[in-house]
Amino acid sequence: MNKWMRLLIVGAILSLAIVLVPLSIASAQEISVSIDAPAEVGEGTDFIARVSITDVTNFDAANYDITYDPTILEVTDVTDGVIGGTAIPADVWGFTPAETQGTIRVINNVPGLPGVSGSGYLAEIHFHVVGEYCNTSDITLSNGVLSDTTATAITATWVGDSVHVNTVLDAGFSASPLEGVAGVTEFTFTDATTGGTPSYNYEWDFDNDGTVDSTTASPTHIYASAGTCTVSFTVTDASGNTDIESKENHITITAATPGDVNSDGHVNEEDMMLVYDHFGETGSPGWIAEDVTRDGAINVLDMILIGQNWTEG
Amino acid sequence: MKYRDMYQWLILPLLLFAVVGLLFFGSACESTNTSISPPSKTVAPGETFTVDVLVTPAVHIAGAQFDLSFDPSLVTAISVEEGDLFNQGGFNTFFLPGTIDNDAGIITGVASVITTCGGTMTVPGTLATITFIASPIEGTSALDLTNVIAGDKQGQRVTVQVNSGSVTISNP
Repeated sequence: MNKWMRLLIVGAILSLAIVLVPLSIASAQEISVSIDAPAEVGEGTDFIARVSITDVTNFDAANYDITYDPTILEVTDVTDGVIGGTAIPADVWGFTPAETQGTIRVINNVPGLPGVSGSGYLAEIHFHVVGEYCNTSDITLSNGVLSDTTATAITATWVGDSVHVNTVLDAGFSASPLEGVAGVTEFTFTDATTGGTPSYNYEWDFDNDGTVDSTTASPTHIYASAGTCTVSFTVTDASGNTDIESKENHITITAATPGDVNSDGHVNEEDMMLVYDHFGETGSPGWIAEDVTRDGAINVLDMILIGQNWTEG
Repeated sequence: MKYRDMYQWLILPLLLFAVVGLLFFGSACESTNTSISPPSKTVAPGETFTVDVLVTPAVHIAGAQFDLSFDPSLVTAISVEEGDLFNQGGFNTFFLPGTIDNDAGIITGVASVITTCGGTMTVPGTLATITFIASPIEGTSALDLTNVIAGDKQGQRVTVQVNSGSVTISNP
């Protein structure tokens, strides 16, 4: 074998090494097992952290330890995972050491199947928050082993997470005024939500009929008809926590008295003078209370309705 | 043939005339008339004089309003006072004397309404009396009623007919 032939063989071997080694590294790095927990959790609340896995091939079994701060979190249950639409049993789990919060060991096994490929999660870990506001607990994965249907280990990257304890989401609101006139009084509702993880999504149901009337933080509303209304206010925070504040019979609306422009329960000269202040103005029908006839113009016709419903003098 | 000719040339036009006449006079009769009284007046330079705004309701009305424009170089509006139109039935009323603008030559927003529940008026009367002072110079100023609105007790507009007037300033 001459010198050129030897160089050729060495070059071929090096080339193969250059190509194959990164490929093998790349395939190992593509599989990731991670804890996906909400960044913020409320005091005393429950939440779920998933043990997610990506791009696994012929998965058959796994075991891993999950460690957390037992003064902040407690595991209450572990439920099955799903990869590529196939359920991954996670019914074998326990505390290590036994009956001691802090670390659990989870074993997944997919018996009788030809192996599972794809992305999903190995299990859902159910936590209860026992810590206080501002506590933070890491949730780490360790001693992780994945194997395929040939009992060969699957190399993976194991990534932990952490949760921060926030105050419990507490939806709240105030309303002003609490009594008014149908079609006239504009009620202002003010968000007073505390805790949870800002930002919030709001759903107001001003008459508790199941229909969302507003999604702004502090909306206004004019009730069309008389009655007593229960107001329901649903708040969802950035972590997905939801709280509902419902105040029964909170708003009282009385039927409007025609001509009672200032909604004081009397039809009198004050109402006339309010019309006089806007006499000659035009707008969309009913744009101001002074448009008593709701014809889009302030004129003697509005005064007539006031006069015909006069309650004083 | 004679009867057919008579039918064509006499009966049909008569019928048509009757229908048109009914439509015209019928609608005119349903209009509430608002007019300046007297419709024309002659006053001496510098004389203080009054004109009335008369309302003759064609239907039950519960309120009325008007604007009145004039030549500010010839007359100056002094005051607007409530007339007897809506007081006639013993009703309470609310009267707006409007706003006098002697630069622009207009009185705007004169209005009166009955403030007795259910009260309406069908008897003619004076809605408002306006006092002017004639200027020292001679001339004729129109007294134009505009923005005239009358309404029934439901606050619904009724049809109005407007007859404006004039005042002539002339040395005796």
